[in-house]
Amino acid sequence: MRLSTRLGLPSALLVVAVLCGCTDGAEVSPNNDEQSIPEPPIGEIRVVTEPAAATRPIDEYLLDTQGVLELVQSHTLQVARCLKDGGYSETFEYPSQDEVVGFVATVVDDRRLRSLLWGFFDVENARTLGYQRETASGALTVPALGKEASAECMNLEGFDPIKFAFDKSLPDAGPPVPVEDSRVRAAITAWAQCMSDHGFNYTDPLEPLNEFQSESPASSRQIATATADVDCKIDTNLVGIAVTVEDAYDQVYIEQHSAELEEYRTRIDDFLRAGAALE
Amino acid sequence: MSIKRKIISVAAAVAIAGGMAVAVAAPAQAINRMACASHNLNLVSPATTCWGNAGSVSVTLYDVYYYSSGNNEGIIYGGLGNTYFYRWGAASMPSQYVFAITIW
Repeated sequence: MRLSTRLGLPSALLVVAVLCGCTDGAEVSPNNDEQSIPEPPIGEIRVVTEPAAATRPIDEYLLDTQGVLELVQSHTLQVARCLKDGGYSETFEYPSQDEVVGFVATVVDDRRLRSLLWGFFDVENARTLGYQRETASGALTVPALGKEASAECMNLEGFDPIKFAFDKSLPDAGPPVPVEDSRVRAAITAWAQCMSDHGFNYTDPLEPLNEFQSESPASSRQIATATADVDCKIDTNLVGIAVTVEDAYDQVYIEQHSAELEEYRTRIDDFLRAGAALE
Repeated sequence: MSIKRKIISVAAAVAIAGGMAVAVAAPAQAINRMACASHNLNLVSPATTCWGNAGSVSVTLYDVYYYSSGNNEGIIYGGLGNTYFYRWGAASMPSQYVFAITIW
């Protein structure tokens, strides 16, 4: 069924209301700090019915799984050289490549499947896995070196390869999450009403993710909740509205951090170059 | 121990004690211990503790064997290594001493 025919009247009215510009004069404090900024104007509301469409301008600056793996390999070489040059007898290895790939790929995939703004959107797996991940690697433990060796060789100029899988590696921890944006709040209200109509009472799309994170394998109730969750996100176009708003905040962030983002890229390139010189 | 290594060791200790060197702007609310709830980082041990907000903190937590991250991501620094975690994950971990936590 096409989205246009799936949208109920209240949802459609909501979208119209958002498009009509209920943002005049509104202010938002996206990072929960004390400084409020005006809500940026947004473009035409996007329609997002699958995770692959939940793209954002900031994606261009983030590494994919392969990019992070190249950093990990470079880091491994540089730590080994540092240990050797420092006269340490210790050796350092990351966990197996499968473990590293599994963890990093999960983080990268989560950019479109789980959001601090709109919550869960794993359309493909909701009906079978609920809120669980298909290949959950849980956490990634990088073995520790001795205290001295670790201090000297592990954190090379503050460079942490694994962190580059996360958008928090970006300057100033990345674009703000516009949780208080009036357009997002309106869309979340519509989603919450849809969930209520399906018999699930949540006011915030993060609530079910928090509630079910530890319940694996998923119960029938978890699967029913996750199914209603993604259906309601499609019915109300919550993700489409949210990424449209995020587009605007991303653009402001990118403009305000152009020099820092250039440095961010240069830092990655320099780190890879330093590792390549050791091969 | 060489002078260079001593300096590095002291710098590392200070970094952990005073807030690890993370490449982010100072958050409006620093990491702190909170009442346990599903949206916080829950570090399960015989004396379970829960954490929220961005930042780094030195801790002394024994026998941590399970975590659930809530809407947090970061690193748990333990006796067996640095454990990176993403949001909305939960898993058992080898029981260990945890000496620092970073939430991004």
